[in-house]
Amino acid sequence: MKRKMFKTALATAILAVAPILVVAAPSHAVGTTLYTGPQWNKILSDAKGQTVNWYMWGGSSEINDYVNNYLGAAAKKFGITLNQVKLNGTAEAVNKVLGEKQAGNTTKGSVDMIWINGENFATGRQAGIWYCDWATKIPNAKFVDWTSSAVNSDFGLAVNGCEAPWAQASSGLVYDSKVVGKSDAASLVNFVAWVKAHPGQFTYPAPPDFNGSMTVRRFFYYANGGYSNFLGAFDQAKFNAGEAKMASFLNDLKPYLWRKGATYPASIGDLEKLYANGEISAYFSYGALAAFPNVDKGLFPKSTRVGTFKEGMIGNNSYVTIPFNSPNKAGAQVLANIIDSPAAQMKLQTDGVIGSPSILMNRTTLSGRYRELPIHPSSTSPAILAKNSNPELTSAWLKAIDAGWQKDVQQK
Amino acid sequence: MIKETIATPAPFLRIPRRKVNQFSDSRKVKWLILPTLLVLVILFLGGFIFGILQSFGYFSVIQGQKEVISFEAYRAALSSDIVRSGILLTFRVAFLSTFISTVVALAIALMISRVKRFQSTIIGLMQFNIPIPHVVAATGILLTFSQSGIISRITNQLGITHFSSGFPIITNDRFGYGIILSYLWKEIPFLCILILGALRGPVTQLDETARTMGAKYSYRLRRVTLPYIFPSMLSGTIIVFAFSFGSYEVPYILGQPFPSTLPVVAYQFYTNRDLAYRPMAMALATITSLVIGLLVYFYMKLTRQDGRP
Repeated sequence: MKRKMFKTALATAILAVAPILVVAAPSHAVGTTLYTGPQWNKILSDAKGQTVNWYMWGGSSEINDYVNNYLGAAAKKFGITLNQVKLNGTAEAVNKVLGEKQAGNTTKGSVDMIWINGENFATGRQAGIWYCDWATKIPNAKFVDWTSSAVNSDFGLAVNGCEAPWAQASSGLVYDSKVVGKSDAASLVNFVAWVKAHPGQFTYPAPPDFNGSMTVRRFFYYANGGYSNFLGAFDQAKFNAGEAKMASFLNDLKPYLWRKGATYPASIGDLEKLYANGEISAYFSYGALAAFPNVDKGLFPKSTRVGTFKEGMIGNNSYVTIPFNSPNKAGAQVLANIIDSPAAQMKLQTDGVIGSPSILMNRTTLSGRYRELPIHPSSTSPAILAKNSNPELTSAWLKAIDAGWQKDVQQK
Repeated sequence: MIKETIATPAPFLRIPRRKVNQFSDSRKVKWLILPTLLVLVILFLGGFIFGILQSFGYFSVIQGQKEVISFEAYRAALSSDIVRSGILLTFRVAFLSTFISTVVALAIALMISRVKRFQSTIIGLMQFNIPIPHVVAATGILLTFSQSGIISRITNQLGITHFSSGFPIITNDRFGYGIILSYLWKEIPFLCILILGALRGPVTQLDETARTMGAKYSYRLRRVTLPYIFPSMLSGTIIVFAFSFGSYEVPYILGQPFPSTLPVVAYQFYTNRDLAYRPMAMALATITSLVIGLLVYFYMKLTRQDGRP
C-alpha cells in the first residue's frame, strides 16, 4: 500500500500528470512544521562563520566536484565553509562519532554531517548518536514528501527528523549493449540466462559493500519469488528458508561469474574498473543514473546502456544526518537546506552526480524545466529506472543476508 | 644507546662528525624526542589500551546493553572461519615475503659488494624505491600485473594471451601472490641497503686478512662474512616480518575480501554495520599487536646483545 503511494508520488513528481497537486502541495505539506521565521533567522546567523565537516564516501569525482564546487560555493554565500572529508565507507564516519561518544565528547565532535543511508543510520540509532527533529523543519523540507514511506522511513526505520533526504536512487543494470542484447536486459530471468551463457562477464562486489549487498538482495528476492515475504520485522524462520534458496541460487551462478566466483571485487570502484577495462560487460549499481559521465570521459564504452528489469530493481533514498555532538549544527542545517533546494536537487540528475531528486520537483518553480530535461543516450529517465522498483528491507534483514552470503556463498 | 640501532646509514648519508660534549649531546637528544614520545604515548598507547579494554567488552557502544566482561570476543573471533583462514594467509604472506626478500637481498648485496666500479651508482639506484609508500607500490603492482593491467595488455597485443581473462591471476588472488610481490618490491632494496651497510664495516678487513691467508671465497663467506652480518640481517628480517604481518593497505588493495589477512579482517569487523562485531575487531587487533610486540622484543634483545654495528 505504502509502496503504491510512493510510486504515485514519484509519478506525479516526474511526469506531473496532476497539475492540481502542484498548486496544492506547498502550502500544507503533511506532517511538517517548519521552523518559524525568527527560529530560522537565528540558525542562519549562528551558521555564519561555521565550518561544516561533511563526511562522505569519496569514491566518485562527480560527487566530489558537486560537493566542493557547487554546494561549497552556495554555502559560502551564507558564510559557511564546507569541508568535505572523503571516506572509503560511511561506516568510518559512524565509527568516529561512536568513538567520540565513548570518549565522552558530547559537544565538540569533529563530524558535522554524514551522507548516509539505512544501514549505517540504523547503526547510529542503535548507539543513539543522531541529532534529531530538525530535518522536517528546515525551509526546503516543504518540497519533501514526508508522507511517503520511501522518505519518512529509511530501510524500514522511522526517520524522525534525524536526517534530510539527499538523493533518490534506483539501482539499475549498467551494461554494454554490444555484448548484452536488449532482450537479455529486459527481464531478470533473461539476464540470468545471459550470465550463464556468457561466463566471466558478470560479477558484484563482496558484501558488505553497499552495491554488492544490494545485488545480493536483488538475487535474494529473485530466488524467493519476490520480496513480499520479508517486509517488516526480521523473522529468523523466514530468513533461514529464504537464505537457503538464495545461497543455492548464487552458488549455482558462481561458475559463470568473473573468475568463476573464486573472488569478488572489494568495492564498486573496483567493479567499475573491471567494466571500464572490458573484463565484465554488466553490473548492478545504485549509481546507474550517474554512469553516463564515465562514457563522456571515455572510460566506459559508448555502447553503455542503463536499464531495469521488468521485475524491477531496488530503490532507496540517501540522506544527510547530523551527529548529536556536532558543534556546527546550525551550519549543517543550513547546508542541508541548500542540499534540498530545487536547483541543487535538479543538478544531481543533470550533471550525473547521483540518482535523481529526492524532493518533489513538481512542488517547485523548476517543475517545467525538470520535465523537459534531455536524457543522455547512455542513461535513462529516473521514472523508467524506478519502475516496479523493489523496496529495501530493514537493517536486521540486511545484516543477516550479508552474513549469510559470506558464510554460505563466499566461503563455500 | 643510539649507536645500537642496527640500521647503519648508507654511505652517501654519512653524518658529518662533530666534536661535541657527549653528555650535553645526549641530553639534547632526550629533549628533542620528547614531543614525538608524548604523541606516541598519549595517542598510541592510549588508543591501544582503550582497544584492549574494548576487546574484553568494556565501553560497549550499543545503547542500553549491559557490559559483560569476558574473553567472549576472543573465543568468537578465533572460532570464526574468516579469522582462521585469515591467520593462515597472514602467516603465509609474512613468512614467504620475509624469506624470499632476505635471500634475494643477501644475494644482491653480496654481488654489489664485489663490484668495484659504479658501486655507489648501483646503491643509489636501489634506494629510489625506499621513500615510495607501500600503498603506491601496491597500486603499481595492481596496474602492472592485474588481468587488465599493462603486462596483460601487452601480451594480448602480441597474441600471447587472449582476452584479459586469459592472463594468469596474480593480483587479488587466493594465495596472496600479489601481496607478496608488492612486499618483495619494497623490502628487497630495503634489506639490501641494510646488509650492504653491514658488509662495509670492519668485516672488509677481516675478509681481506682471510684472503691473504689463502681462504677461498666460499669459505670466507661461510666463516667470516655471513656470521658477521647475520645480526644486522636478522634484525632487518624481523622488521620486514613485523611489517608484512601487520600492514593493512597492501593486502586490502592486492588481496581478496575473503580470505583476508588479520588487519583487513579486523577492519572489516570494525566497520561492520553490526556494532556487536566491534569487540571482535579489537580482539584481532590485540592479537596482531601481541605478535608484533613479541617480534619487537626479540629485535631489541638481538640488537642489545650484539655490540657490533
